[in-house]
Amino acid sequence: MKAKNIFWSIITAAIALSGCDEIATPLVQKQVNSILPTTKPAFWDSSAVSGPYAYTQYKVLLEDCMGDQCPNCPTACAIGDTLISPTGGYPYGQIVMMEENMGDFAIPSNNVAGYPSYAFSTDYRCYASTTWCTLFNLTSATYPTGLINRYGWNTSSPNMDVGYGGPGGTVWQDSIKDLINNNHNAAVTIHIYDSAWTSPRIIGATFQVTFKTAFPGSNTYSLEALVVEDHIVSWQKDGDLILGYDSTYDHRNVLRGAFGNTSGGLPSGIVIPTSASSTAGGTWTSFQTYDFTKGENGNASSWNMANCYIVAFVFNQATQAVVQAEMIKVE
Amino acid sequence: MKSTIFTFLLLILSAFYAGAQILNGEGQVHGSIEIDAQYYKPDSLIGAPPVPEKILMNTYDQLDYTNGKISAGIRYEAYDNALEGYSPLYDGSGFPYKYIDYKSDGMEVTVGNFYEQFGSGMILRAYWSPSLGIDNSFNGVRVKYSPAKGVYLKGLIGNQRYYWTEGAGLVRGFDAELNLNEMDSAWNNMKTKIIVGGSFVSNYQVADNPTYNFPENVGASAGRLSIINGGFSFYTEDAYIINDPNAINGDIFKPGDGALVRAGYSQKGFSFMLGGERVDNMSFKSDRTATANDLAINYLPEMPRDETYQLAAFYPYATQPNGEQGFDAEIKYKLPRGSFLGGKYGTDLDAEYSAIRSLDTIALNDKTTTDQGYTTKILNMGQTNYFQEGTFEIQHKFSSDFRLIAQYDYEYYDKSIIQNELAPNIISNVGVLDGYYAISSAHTLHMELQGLQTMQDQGNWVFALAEYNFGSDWFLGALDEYNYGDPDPSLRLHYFTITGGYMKNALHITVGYGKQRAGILCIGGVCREIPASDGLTLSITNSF
Repeated sequence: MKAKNIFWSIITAAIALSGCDEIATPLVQKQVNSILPTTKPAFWDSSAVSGPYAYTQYKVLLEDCMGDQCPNCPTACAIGDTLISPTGGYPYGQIVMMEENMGDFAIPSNNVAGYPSYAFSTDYRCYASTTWCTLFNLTSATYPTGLINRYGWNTSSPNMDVGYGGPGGTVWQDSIKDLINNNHNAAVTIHIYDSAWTSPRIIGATFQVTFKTAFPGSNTYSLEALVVEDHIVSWQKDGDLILGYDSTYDHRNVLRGAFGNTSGGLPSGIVIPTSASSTAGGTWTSFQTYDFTKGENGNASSWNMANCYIVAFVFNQATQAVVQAEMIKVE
Repeated sequence: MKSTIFTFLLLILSAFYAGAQILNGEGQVHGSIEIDAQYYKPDSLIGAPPVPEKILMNTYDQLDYTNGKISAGIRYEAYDNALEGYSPLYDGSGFPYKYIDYKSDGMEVTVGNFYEQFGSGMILRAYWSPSLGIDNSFNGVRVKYSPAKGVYLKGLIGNQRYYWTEGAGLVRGFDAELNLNEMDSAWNNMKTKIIVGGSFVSNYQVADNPTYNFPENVGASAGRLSIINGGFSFYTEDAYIINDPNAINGDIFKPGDGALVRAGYSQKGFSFMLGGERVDNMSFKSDRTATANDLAINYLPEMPRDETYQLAAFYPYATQPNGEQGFDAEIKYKLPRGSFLGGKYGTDLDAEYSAIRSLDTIALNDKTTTDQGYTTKILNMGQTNYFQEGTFEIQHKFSSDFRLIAQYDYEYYDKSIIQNELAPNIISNVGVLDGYYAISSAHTLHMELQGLQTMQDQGNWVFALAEYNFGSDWFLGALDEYNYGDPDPSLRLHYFTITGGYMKNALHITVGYGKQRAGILCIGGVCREIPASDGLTLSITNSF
């Protein structure tokens, strides 16, 4: 009888302590750097698959470092634009390219000799591009230049820009070709699910990172999440034109800012737990919001949301090397 | 390296001296020891990576003591370091399994580590599989009690093992099983035996995610029914898991459900079995961030058979916890002795067919609202064919000295789903001839010849094995897998291995040298990747 009492006491206690929590509202309403509207988003993704190319494919991040007062930069931009085009030789979307304004050629000025005061007065730099310019020792680099998956960096030798090879140069093509030939499938995949509220100008994005193979537990990987704006028509110096400038230059995929906070975001990324990265099949999910009314210390209020994309990449914190990149239109 | 060698030698000595059951008063001591070690050589051609330690070893050593109503046990494990293919999180040594068990008056109480299974395991199964690198034992308390004839109750609470630590979740479970025939004397002698059961399991894990309102208590329930009447048997189980967003299902909040049905009939010389299964979002782990095989609370029974022949098991099926449905049918018939085809000893025929498909789902755009992810059309079959397998086997004993097994195996295999990598679907045909010839009472010869034909993946393979047993305790063998059909001629490689060993009672010693191709090992639908390797292997097992 005593044994029975003990048993039923344990069972009663176990059942009382056990239970089910049924969740009616899965999303936490209060987010890291803004509050998501309670109304239905104006746009949301329907495919749950990032980018125009299969998310399981390896993708290369090409960072075109430039400035609007750099006369040779349009040549490099043209090389990059060709590479990311459907006829660029790679499946459309396999190369994720951003124009990053940094360095002396990107310092805004309303007093450039021979130009109207407003021509180069807009600052296309952002906190992330400025931070990286310093981190990668690009302050005094020869522009234009490029970073391809950020390979070759260490603290004692921070230079890893590869130039662009001059007109007709194949530096970027060759580097990208090598990477793609050696990485048929992505070792890491990034799913981006996004929703956009156009009225309060907020986007919410879930980044789901999956490590297809186990990465060394001694390495730490981070996710960088960015906003880029395509088709900014503005002034650009261009040495190939007789006038030396183009006042209606089409700037493609311009880096605008990083997710994380309203004062420029987190250029060092968001750390991914090694429990996910050191496990084959390990998955980590992060939800981030971007408030276009407050982002980049308020500068984001003038950006054209309809032309914006979310770019995300996973990189090794020690070497900065990018292992996978993704891009999805804000919609 | 020195400590590895020292541990290794100590364990080998222990294995040889673990010779007999030890009696100490009324108490009894039992134990077992297993050592798996390998010396690795890099081989870039087959993809065998360099192993800095050169030698790696896994060992598992169990000791159990029983004295009357009390029993206790302990298991020592050492991974110095873990063999290739096992998680490096296992590196190290210690005593991850220790328990004390007390039985009295129909009640059994276990404190410490224990394994348990409710029903078929659809909502709870803790088990240990060294070959898969799985140990999801509980550390806590378990009580079993039979308050009346035919009534069997179980309750448990504990955390699950996670390599050398414990998972974040606290698991509570209760199971009740009623054997109706045992409960009532009037039913006792009935030919029809009926057993019903029900379980409830709940996992508690702190929810502190800034993005999602994760449930802290995730509950799962299951009911089961078993009916046996003579040669007829029927088993069914249905399970349900309330919203359990986790890393496997992409953090959706859709409830999971699963159903299993098996029916069979058998009589002398004939048996038939038909089974069906449906799984929808049934990954249930004690840590919502866990992936792969880590911290699984439940086990989803597998439909297709576990193939034992090397090439027939080349493309094994792995149960898809996020969703699958399928069936399996098997018929066995023994052609009688003395018949035209049965011959002097009879002939065993075995035919089996399995098919697994996706669920028919409709994706939902509700990530920012209810986040159910998708809905399922329960009565429809999905469009994606995951796996099909048809197997036919004949086993015939030609004489008292010679036995031959012939098997044909057809497979359709969606590698992109099952192995989660972009690859074309694979159609393969496998033929097997397996012969045993007893030269004398102490000398036997075992030979296998297998061929795999496929137009996809690595193309065609052939496998040959010869094993000679002599002196009743010794054996020597050689095998070769040859990928003669690889689309890349430079990768048409041989994987040659020689083995030898000694088997005496429970003591088994096996030494091998050769190459192992990369692949996956699946047992019961649960899989582990096997990396390519080249080198010397040593395996020692003993028990007393």
